[in-house]
Amino acid sequence: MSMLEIINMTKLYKTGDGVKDINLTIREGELVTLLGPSGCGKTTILRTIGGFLNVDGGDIRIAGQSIIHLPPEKRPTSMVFQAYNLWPHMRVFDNLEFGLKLRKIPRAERARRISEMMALVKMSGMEKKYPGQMSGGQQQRIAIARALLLEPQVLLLDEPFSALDAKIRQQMREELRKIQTDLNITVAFVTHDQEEAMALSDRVVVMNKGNIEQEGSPQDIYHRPQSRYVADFIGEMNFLQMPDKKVLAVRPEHVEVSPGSGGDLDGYVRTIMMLGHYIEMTVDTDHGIVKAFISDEQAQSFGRGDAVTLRFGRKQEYTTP
Amino acid sequence: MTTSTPQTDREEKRKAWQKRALLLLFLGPALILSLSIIVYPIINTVIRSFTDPATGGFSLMHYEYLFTNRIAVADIWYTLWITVITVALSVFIAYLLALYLRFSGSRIAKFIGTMYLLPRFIPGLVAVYAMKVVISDSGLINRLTLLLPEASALYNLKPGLLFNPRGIILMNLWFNIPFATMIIVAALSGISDSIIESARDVGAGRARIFLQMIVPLSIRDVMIAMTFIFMSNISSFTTPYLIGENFPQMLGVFLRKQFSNRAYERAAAISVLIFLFSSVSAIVYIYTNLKEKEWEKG
Amino acid sequence: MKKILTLVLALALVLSLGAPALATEKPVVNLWTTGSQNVADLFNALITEYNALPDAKTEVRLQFLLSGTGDEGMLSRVSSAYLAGQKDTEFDMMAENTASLQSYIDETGTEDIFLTLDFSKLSNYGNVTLKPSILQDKVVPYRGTTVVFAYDSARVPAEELPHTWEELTQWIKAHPGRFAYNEPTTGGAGSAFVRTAVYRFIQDKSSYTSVDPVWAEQWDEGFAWLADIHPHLYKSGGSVVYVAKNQGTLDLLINQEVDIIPAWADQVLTNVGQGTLPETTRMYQLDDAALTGTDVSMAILSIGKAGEACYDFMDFVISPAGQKIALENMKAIPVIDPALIDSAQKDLVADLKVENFAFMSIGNLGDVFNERWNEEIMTLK
Repeated sequence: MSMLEIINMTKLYKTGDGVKDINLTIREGELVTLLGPSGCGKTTILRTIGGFLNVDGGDIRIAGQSIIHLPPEKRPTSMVFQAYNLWPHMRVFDNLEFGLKLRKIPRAERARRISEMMALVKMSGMEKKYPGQMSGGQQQRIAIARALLLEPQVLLLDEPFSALDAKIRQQMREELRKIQTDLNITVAFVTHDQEEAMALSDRVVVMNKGNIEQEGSPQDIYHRPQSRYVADFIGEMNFLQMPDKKVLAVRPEHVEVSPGSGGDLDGYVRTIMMLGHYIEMTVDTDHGIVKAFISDEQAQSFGRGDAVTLRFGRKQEYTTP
Repeated sequence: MTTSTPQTDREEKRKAWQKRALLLLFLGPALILSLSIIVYPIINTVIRSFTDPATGGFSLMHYEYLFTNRIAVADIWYTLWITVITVALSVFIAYLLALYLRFSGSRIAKFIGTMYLLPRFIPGLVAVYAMKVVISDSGLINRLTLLLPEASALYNLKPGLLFNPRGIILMNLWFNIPFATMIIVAALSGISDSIIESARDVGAGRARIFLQMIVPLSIRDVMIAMTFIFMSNISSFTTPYLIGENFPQMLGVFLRKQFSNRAYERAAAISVLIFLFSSVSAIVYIYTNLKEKEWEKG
Repeated sequence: MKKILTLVLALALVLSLGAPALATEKPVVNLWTTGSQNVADLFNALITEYNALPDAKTEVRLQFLLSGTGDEGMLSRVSSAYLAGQKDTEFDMMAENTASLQSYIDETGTEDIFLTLDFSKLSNYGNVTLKPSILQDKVVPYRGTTVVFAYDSARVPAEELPHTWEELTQWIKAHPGRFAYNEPTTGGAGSAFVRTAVYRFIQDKSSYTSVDPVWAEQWDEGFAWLADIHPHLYKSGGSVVYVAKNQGTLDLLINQEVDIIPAWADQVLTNVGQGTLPETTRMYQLDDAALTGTDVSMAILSIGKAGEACYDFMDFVISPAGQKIALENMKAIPVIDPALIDSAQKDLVADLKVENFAFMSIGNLGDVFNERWNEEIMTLK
C-alpha cells in the first residue's frame, strides 16, 4: 500500500530553480532516499512534504489524503533537520514532551512513552540534560526520538547525520535502519552521501537539477545506472571513450587484469596502491586510464610498467550527445 | 600535563608572568583613564553632596531637600515615570519591528532593515529641533491641516505635543527604538529557522512558538536593551530641556537649574541620585549578562 | 643609529632657532567671554580684524564658553586662581556684562581682581558716551544691550498696544495665550521681565542695585502679579509653558504663536536682519518701568600674564571701526555716538537710547529670586 504519493508536483523559486513535475510513491514501511548534489531539489521535495514550502502545482497525498493545504503543524509528518533541531532552552525531557502536551496526552502516558523512546534511542538517563550539554550525535538521537514520539505517518529526515563524525555517522545509520524496520515506519531521507543512501535505503531516488534521474533499489542503481550522470555519481566508474561517440562504463571491481595481451583492452601498469582490504591498480590504455580493484595475491605478480590486458565483466554503454 | 620537571615548572611560571604583564599592558590605560575620569569624580561628587556649602561640614540637607521639597519629589517621580514608559514603549515597538524584520522576507522588510538605524546617525540636537518643527502647534502637522477644508474636523489641528511629557516620550522613542531594534534583531537572528520549523512540525501554532520559543530565546537581549535605555534616559537632558514643560521637570534639567543657580552641592546630590538609579539598572544588566544560564553551559 | 642622531641634532637646531623667533612675537592676550553664539561671532570678527592690523601690538585669542556649557564654572575658576595667589595666568582679560563682572569682586571680596584702568592709554575713550553703571574705574563698556518688548506691528494694531504695565496686564488677559516670556533661569530676557515686573512695585529705586536680602520682603506684590497673569500666557498641550532660552520665545514670535514677548534688542535685530522676523517687527519699552538693560564691558584681570598689553585691543574695540563691527555683526548698541560710525545700519538702533537703560544688579539675591519663581510660578497649573 502506498503511504506517500507525490503527483506531478512543481515547486519553483523566484530564481527559476526548483523542482518540476515530480512523481514519486513511497510504500508503507519503506525507506526511500532522495540522493543528489546540493541544489538538485531533494531538500525542496522534503520541505514540500513537511509543509515548509507551498507547492505551485500537482498534489501530495499521505494515506490517500491530499495534504498540500495543511500547515506543517497539521500534517501527519515529522521532520528531523540537519542541525539545531532541539530547543536549547528546554531539557531533553521537555523537548520530547512538548509535542505530546500539544496533543493533550495525559501526563503519565507522556512519561511512559518518553521513557520507552529514550530506551529505544539508547539515551536513557539523559532526560535532565540541556541540548548544549550533549554531543552532536546525542542531540540527533533525541531529535529522531522527538519525531518518532509523535508517531508520524511519514518521517522526514533532512541530512540528519551530515554534521557528525564519520564513525558516529556510520553507527547512527545502522541504528536508524534497525529502528525503522522494527517499527515499520515510512521514511523519506535526504542525503548527498551516496554511500549512506546505499547502506540505508529500500529504494534510492537519484536527482539532478530538479528532475528525478533514476529510481530503484540500491542494487539497480549501482549495477544498472541508466545515465552517465547516475553512473558517475554512484560509486566508482571507469569511462572509456569509444568510437561513434560511445562511452563504455565499467566499475573497477568488474575489471579483470591478466599479464600479456588479447583481452578487451591492453595497457601498462601505472600505479599499484594499497587501500586496506583491496588493492587499486591503474592501467594506462589507448582509451585513457582504467582503474581496477584486485586482490592482494594478484598484486604480488605485477610491477609498474608491466604490459597487461583487461577483460570487462559487467559493463554499460552510453552515447554522448 | 603528566610529567613535571622543575624546568618545565619554571617555564610555566615564566609564561604565566608574561601573560599577566601583557594583560596589564592592555588594561592599564583603560584602568588609569577610568580611575581618573570616572572613579575620582564620582567620589568627589558623593563627598560634595554631603557638604553644607555654608560651613563646609557634613550635612544631609541636600538629600533632605530632594526627598521633602515638593518640586524635587515631583521631579523624581516624573523622571522615573517618563523613563519607565520610554523603556516599555521602546522595547514593545522595537520587538514588533524586530519580529517583522526577522521573519518577513518582503522587500519592505529589507528596506526597513537597511533604514531603521538611520536615526542613530542624526545628531541628537538636530533631531530634537527637527521634531519641534514637526510637532509644535504651529509646526508642520499644523500647517498641513491648514490645507484641509475649514469645515473638516482636523482643520488647524494643534498637536499639543510640545512642552509636555508626550513630546518627551515621542522624542525618546525616536532615539531608542532603533537601538532596541538593533539588539533584538541580533537576538532573533540567532534563533535558527530549524528551531521554529521543528516547533511548527510538532504542532505548535504561532502564538505558542512566540511564547515558548522566541521569547525565552531572546528575553536576555531584551533585558539588556531595557537596561541600556533606562540608563540613558534617566539622565537625559537635551530632550526634556527643549521639549519638556517647566514643572515637573526631568532630573537632568532640574540639575542644570541648580547649576545655574550655583547650588553645586544640591546638584551633586541630584547627580548621586541619578547615579543610584542607573546603578540599579546596571546591576540588572550585569546580572543578566554574567549569569550563565544552565542551558548555555558547555 | 647615525641617522637617528643626525635627525635629533637637526631637530634640536630647528628648535633652538625657532624659540627666540617665537619670543620676539607679539604678546598674547587671552580674552575670556561667555554667552550665546552671537557673542562668539562678534569677538571672532573683532579679533580677526584686530590681529590683521599692521600696528596691532598684541595677538588676541578668544576663550569662549557657551552659555550653559560650563560658563558657571568660570567664576569659581578665576576667583580660586586669584585667592590661591596665582600670577601670570592665562586669565588676561574679560568681556562680560558689568553686573557679572561685579560678581567676581563679590566672590573674591576685593576689587583688586581687576586692574584699575589708566584711561589716558585709551585714545578712543573720550568718545564713549555710555559710562559704566558701576565699577567706573575698572571697566570699559564696549556695547549696550537691553531687553525690550518685541511685537509685529502688522499683527498688533497701534491703538491696542499697551504702554503701561497696567495696560499690559489688560492686554495679556484680553489676548489669552498671545504673550510669553522664557524661563528666567535659561535666559536674560525672561529674567529681566520678571525682575522688572517685581521691582517696579518697590518705591526705593536703590533696590535695583542692592544685594541686601531685605528687599526680598517687598517682592510679594510682584510675584502676585506674575501669578495673576500666569493662566493667560502661552499654552501648549493645554497648559502654560515657559519655554527655555531667549531664542525659545523668539521662535514663538517667529512662528506667530504669540504676539508680544520680552527679548534682547540685539537678538530681535539679528532675526529681522536674517529675515526670520518680518520687517514690521517693532521694539519698545513701557512708559512706567523699562525692562532692564546693561552695559557690557571689558576689564583687565590682575592675575593675567598680559596685564597692560590688553589696552591696545580695548582701544580698538571702542574705536569707530570696532564699534562698526559690533553694530553690524551683532546689532549691538554702540557705546559711542552713532554719528561717528560709518554704517548704514546705525538707524536700527537709533531708538534704543542708552541713557534710558534701567540697570539692575542684585547679585546673589538673584538666586533667591529664581528659587522663589521656581517655587511659586513655575509650579502653577
